[in-house]
Amino acid sequence: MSLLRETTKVFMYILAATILTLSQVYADACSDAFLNLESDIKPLMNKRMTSYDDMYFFSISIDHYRERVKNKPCPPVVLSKIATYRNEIKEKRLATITKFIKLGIKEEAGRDLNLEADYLTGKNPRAQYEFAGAFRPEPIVENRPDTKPPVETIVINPPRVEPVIVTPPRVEPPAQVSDPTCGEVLHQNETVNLQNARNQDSVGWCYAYTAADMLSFKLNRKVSAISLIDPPDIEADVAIGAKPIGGIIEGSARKYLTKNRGVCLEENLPSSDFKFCIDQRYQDYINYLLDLARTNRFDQALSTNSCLERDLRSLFPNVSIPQIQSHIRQKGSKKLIEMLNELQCSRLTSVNPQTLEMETHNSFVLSKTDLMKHLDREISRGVVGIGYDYKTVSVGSTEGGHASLVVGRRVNPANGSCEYLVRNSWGKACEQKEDSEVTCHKNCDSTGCRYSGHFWVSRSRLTSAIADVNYFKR
Amino acid sequence: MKIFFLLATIYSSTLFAKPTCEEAKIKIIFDKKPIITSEILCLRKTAENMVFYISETCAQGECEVLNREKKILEIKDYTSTVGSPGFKLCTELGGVPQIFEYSTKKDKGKWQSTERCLFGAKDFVEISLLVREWKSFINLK
Repeated sequence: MSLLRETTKVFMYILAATILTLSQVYADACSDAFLNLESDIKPLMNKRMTSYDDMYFFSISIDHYRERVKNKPCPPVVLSKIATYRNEIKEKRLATITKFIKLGIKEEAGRDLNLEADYLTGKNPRAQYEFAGAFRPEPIVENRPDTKPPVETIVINPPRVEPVIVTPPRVEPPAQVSDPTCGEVLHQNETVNLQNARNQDSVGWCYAYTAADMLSFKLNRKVSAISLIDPPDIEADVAIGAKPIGGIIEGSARKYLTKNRGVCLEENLPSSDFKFCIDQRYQDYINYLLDLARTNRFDQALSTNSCLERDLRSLFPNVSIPQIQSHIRQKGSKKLIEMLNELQCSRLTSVNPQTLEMETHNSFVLSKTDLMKHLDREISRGVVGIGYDYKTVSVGSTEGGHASLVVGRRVNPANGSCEYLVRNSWGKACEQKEDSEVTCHKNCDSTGCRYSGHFWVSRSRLTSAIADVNYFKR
Repeated sequence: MKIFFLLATIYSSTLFAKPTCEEAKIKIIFDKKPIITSEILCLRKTAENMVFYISETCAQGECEVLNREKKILEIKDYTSTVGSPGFKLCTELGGVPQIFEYSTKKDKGKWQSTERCLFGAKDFVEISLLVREWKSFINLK
């Protein structure tokens, strides 16, 4: 009996402590939530300008605050402070937009700045702002739980609004149009896929990267892009400020295969899978190396620059220092990089060159329409390398000749037009100026979406831009 | 006592989660051999559900480049097809571009590659985020 009594006492103490703790937690919920909100938005308040992303973070900070208080009434002093923050962020954002518009910038993160300004100033009472929720006031409640709380009347815009979307309007997909010339296709494998677009770094060897992707896809082995570069003189090609000579997709692959009867893999001659001792661009490092050779300072640099040998072992691990020294003694910087690449690729993966023969057609001989016919026929069978005028594809760019790989085709679900999926060699960023005919491809999963370094381009836009098509004969 | 510990556990679990940062494996090739290190990668999510990797310091709001006042940028040959435009932007902003391979828990052993812009020893921002932020501000003339 006494044991039961004691156990009951302990249980009652624990229960009382819990109730006390929970009631204290409830009472502190508002102040904790407000302190967290202040801490979250403090960096935004300290900034001189307020970006679109800042507005988004402000909006989710307000959402977090609301989740924490869970619609429970908070004291008027807290709500008044939040209202002050709202007005402050609104004023800062308006000032930022005004500044941008004066500079001629019309949009930010794809949003029309004029429309956003019209909403924030109340000029357009019909506008619905995507962050409007952040500016919706919380009710002020006095400390009398038995009365209904009055609603705080901090109004930024008139209460009745017609829902006109500020963000670009959604386009309802048209009825599916059957286009026999636009069958859906996507080519990818373990080696060339939507997750691993290459990056040509700081050099102008897009044709070599495209040719390497074509060979890699065909062989399902990653071929070194740098092994396929084909300038008459690499030293002149990489010089800072020089205009690179460029190359031909089919030509660079054919010359290499004819000469070597095999391919050099990326694991033997890396194009980007290395890390410099001191992070820098690839072009800068190559020029540094050439400069040392040209001015006969290579040996001196070996003893004073501990990163030099380390980086050489990272980029050219098959080449010894004595081999480099011997070349420099005899020829200086002349054909130094060519020598390094060749020695690095001394062990080739043998292939049957006939299976890798490419056919090529260009706009000197065929019309653009005919080139597109070749593209449409061949994309059904496999990937197609293209040369094209980049500034026609991405309106606003200044320079033209570029090479990329077409890996897919589909009917655009939004507007019904035929479009092609182009694999670029500039890494993962969305570099293109997106419009109704060019959109960046994204890989999406449960965490969100990431740009893939590929982009969709409409048939009409690509037809205007195309210069040559390259594909495997068999 | 068991009930007390149970209640304490329930109470502590109501504390909020930190921003999405995780330890990732980073792979570099040196002397033809892969060297695996680990690093913290933080995910920054935008309103359009796009995600980008940034450093822990940037996730804490401490990196200068993400707080920098936007202005018009004149980048020579930005849209020239020689070299990746994102690399030029990174350099213009005072960073150093780096291609790297990483693998997080959700990648399940598979390696992904991306590019980041390094600012000093600790700060970095994925170049695709920098391009998204600054694209409208680059004078293409």
